[in-house]
Amino acid sequence: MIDFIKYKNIFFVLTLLMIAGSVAAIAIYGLRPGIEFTGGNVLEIEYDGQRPDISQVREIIAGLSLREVAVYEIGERGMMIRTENLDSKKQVELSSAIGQAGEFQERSFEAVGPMVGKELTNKMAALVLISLAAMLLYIAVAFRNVPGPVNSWQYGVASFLILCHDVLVPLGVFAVLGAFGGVQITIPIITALLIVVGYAINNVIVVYDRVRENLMREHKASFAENVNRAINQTLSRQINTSLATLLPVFAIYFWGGESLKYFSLALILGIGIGTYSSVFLAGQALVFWRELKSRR
Amino acid sequence: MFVFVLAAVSAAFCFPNVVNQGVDAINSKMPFDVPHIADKPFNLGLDVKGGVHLEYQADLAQVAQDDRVGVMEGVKDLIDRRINSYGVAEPQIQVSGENRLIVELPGIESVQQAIEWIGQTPWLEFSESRSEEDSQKIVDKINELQGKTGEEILQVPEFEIGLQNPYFMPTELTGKYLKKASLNYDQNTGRPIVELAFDEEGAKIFEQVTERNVSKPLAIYLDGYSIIDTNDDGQIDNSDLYAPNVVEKISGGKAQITGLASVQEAKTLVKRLNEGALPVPLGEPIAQQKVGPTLGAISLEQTVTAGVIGFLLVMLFMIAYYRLPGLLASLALALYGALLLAVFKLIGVTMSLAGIGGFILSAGMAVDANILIFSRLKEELRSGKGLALSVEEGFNRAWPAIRDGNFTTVAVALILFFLGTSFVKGFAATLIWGIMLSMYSAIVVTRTFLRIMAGTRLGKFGWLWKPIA
Repeated sequence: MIDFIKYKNIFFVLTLLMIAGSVAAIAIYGLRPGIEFTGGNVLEIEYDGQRPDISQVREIIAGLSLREVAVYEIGERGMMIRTENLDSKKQVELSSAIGQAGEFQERSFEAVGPMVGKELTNKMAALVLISLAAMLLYIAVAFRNVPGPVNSWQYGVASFLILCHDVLVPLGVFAVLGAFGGVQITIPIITALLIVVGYAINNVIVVYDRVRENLMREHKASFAENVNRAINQTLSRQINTSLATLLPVFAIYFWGGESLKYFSLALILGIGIGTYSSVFLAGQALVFWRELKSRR
Repeated sequence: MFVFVLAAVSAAFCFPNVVNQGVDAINSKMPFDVPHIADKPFNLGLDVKGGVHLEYQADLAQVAQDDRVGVMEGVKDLIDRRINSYGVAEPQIQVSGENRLIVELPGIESVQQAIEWIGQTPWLEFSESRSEEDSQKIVDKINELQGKTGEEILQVPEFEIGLQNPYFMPTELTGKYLKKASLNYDQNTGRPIVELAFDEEGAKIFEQVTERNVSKPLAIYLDGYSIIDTNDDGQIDNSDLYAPNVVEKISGGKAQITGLASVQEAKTLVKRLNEGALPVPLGEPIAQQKVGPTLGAISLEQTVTAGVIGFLLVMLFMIAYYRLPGLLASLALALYGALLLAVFKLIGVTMSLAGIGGFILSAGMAVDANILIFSRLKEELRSGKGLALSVEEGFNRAWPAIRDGNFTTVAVALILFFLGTSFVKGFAATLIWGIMLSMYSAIVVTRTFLRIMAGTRLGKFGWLWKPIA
């Protein structure tokens, strides 16, 4: 049996570092919401021949005096152009202007009015809050009869903090990606993070379920021993399940094409972090809390 | 046994072509006929097929609160009719909320063109019949122009004549003068009638028009085509003509149309007359999206490849780690994949990229249940219990964690489904179906397999049942 409890302070420090890093990244770079939240246009094109220089395209677009313009290269001959929300006349102007730099095919085009964006932001915020609340409620109810020195609301709060941690770290990574690669927080990414929440709660439940079972069976062992045994008993499940889930997600990431790339990246980060916290944080947090109380 | 039949049926449903070829081969040799399996296509989302998605917000300021639902239906009907006349395959038009209209046009490449079609103001006109010599003149001209290209037509003297409708010509009466159309029923016969009310100026024009057309037909056109489908071929083109006869001169601006084929037809007529009478401005779309057909095809191919690779990797992993139980779980997983695809086909879940993502993800969750069960099985075996008993105990011990985990995920997926946008909805729908079937696959299918195998000679080889670590 591996002693996961003994070195818990090392994991806590590591975790605090990750949280600090993510918070710093979000504070410094900020998150880039996609046009579905802010409103705006995104045009994706692919040039028939050689892709013109990106600065040339930027210059052409600058001549149209549009606001919130951003141009990125994608793939071998593709380009992505993001602007404020344009009416159909301006859209035609834009695409004929870009045509000066070289013949191209329009691969995809998306436009969202500012009103729709605002609605969606509210809707998504409500969605995240309701999902989190539903999870908390479930834990509180499922563990209401737990024996031992730690009571059910402590299980609930600990799992809530772990959920926040599991979502915060991928968000921090996306803040960095947004600053350096123009990656945006789009609806697929929010969806992925909600799935991460679902996974994280799953992982935590598996550990706490074992802690509960051990507490009912082993009355002689200390709380910390029971927790440590639970972590060891669930270890192979945590690793194998993460692997089995990550395999198809990695397949989506590598072979699934552009549109699901960041969706799968968010899942990879989230599931990875979720596995870490279920092994190194979930049980330890309970023990830590218990020690904190008994010291007083 | 039931498990195997179910597997065969769902696999047959996923790949109907293969099966139907086999059926053909059997039918050619046997005296009886085996029926074909319905070849129902998968419902592919716009992001896979390619096409245009537009969202509009109708300006209902001029419309009374009570009429709004009906008016939006009218707008939807008008756009539907117009898009059909341009020959778009399988358009989807739906009213969303109180005043939103969502239009999806698969296979259309130009957003601008679609916006133009939809944005036109509807044009309602009442036309009277031409004199016989006028009609003859136009028919002759049409025959003369037949087979000529656009440029050649411009060379023909008086070519404009040939571009007209040979039998009817527009009167001064248009939708502008129509105040309202409503549905009513004849008090004696119970047949539906449509009542028209014109405004003051319209009443005068209507009086003149009816006066000179007594006992003659008056054709009604919307956007240049017959207002309703009169030959019941499901589309409106030049072979349709709706022209009720004028019985007498009508003054006062109120008229009735009788002799309608059905209540349905009367309702459609009223809806369209009203749309022509008071056009609801849609303005510019508030959101639009276009996916090129190449991007869609590439994405689909890539996602399917990713899905197949993902499935194979998971199976390999399971067999390598869990040996015989892993192999059985892989079989259960394959059955689960076939079942899920069959359900998607039957229910018509739209396979968008998000949905395919959800499908692949739920495969991972199906495996999770198996892993939980096998971990417990391992523990039970280690404690010295016999194989058959260990299998039962393993399932019972693993159940609470599987239940809790799957229920929380379904809860989140349900929230996503009811509150989310279309992308999220597609994802949630596939995830919910995936989880339900994965529970079936793990609890019923794997268990059945394990029980059968534990009873055979294979049950004696302990190493087959022990995972690596």
